[in-house]
Amino acid sequence: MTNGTGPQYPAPPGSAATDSSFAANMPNDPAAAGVPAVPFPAQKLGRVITVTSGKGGVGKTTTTANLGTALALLKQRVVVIDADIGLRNLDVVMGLEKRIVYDIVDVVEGRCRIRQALIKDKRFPDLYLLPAAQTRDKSAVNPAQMRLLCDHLKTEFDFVLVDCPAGIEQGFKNAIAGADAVIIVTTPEISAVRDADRVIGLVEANGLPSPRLILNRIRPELVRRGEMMTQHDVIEILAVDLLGVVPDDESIVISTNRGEAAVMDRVSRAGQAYTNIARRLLGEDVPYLNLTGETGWMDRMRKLLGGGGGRASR
Amino acid sequence: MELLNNLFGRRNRPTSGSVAKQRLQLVLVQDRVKLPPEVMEAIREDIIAVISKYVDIDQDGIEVVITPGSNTDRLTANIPLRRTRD
Repeated sequence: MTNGTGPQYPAPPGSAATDSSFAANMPNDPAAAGVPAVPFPAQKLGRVITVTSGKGGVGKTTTTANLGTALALLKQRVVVIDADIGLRNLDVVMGLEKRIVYDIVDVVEGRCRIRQALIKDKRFPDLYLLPAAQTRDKSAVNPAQMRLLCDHLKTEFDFVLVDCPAGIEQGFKNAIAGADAVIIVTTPEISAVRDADRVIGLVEANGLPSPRLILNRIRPELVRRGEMMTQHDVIEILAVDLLGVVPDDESIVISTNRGEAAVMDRVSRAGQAYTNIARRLLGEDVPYLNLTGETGWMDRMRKLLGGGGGRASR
Repeated sequence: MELLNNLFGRRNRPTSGSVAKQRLQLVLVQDRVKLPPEVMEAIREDIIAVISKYVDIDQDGIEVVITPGSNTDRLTANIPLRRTRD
């Protein structure tokens, strides 16, 4: 993992043309020298982080796009992988759909080199997308291939973010195969939290560290009225560490319509929340946005006393 | 009783947020223990069989549930005895 193509890539230089394995087509391969574009700097030891949730529609893809973009804005070298083969969407959310030529299945089946399939987001210095195939299904890639791909990419990038498909079947197994860490996205709804619990169990059963949680689409007003579970409730139930809380925000709808990440919009609350999460991934200690005006035990007292009394200010 | 309170005393209705949390906690206990309903039923039947060898119990009133605890979840059997006068 430190030098050259590493032990996993036994193919000698120059054998790429006949090797059916994509491993031989990795960017360090001298055979790829004629390919322009993507400059690959010296070896890195990046992190592979898979974004998953169990339940669909809770914001995995939006989270992946925004964290990827936020990390790129923070001067990190980032690749985001759409692991949702057959239902690709990360490309449209990021506004890169018109530029797809090759996809992840082309890479693992050796029809192209990794760097040919990577789409550079020109708005940022170091953000790339590896798109999913749209006309294949989850079985087109297996966990071993995925692990190989991630292991390779993390020698080139600071962050490899994998957007996992919904569910706990093969697509999920593929998506976590190469992961160093997992982020669980959930919303404060019974169904989403229940599924998150199941996925957390599966992630830990796979020998990965306990995932960290992003609680998405919090509606502060509902939380204040007691009509939505709080972040404390969800954290207590799932017993994982909180990575961030993202408010339900119409700016997400608007930015997604335009194919721009919300983190590019300086006034977006959700964008701000994602930027904070990206900074936490970099090890910074960033306080959580105060979305609900909750003040910890004071708040709980107030609830106990029947919800009367004044409201904490934002 | 709590159910009646909820139905009639709308004032005292717990907030939906806390209802959600409670329901979630119960359903997760079941999910996490991975005891399918038929196993729970088998446990129940066996408990009835064993206890009734020694005392007269109210079979319909038996409750066998998993309850969440702070450290461990527990399997709780609540077995009402039939009063006999002699």
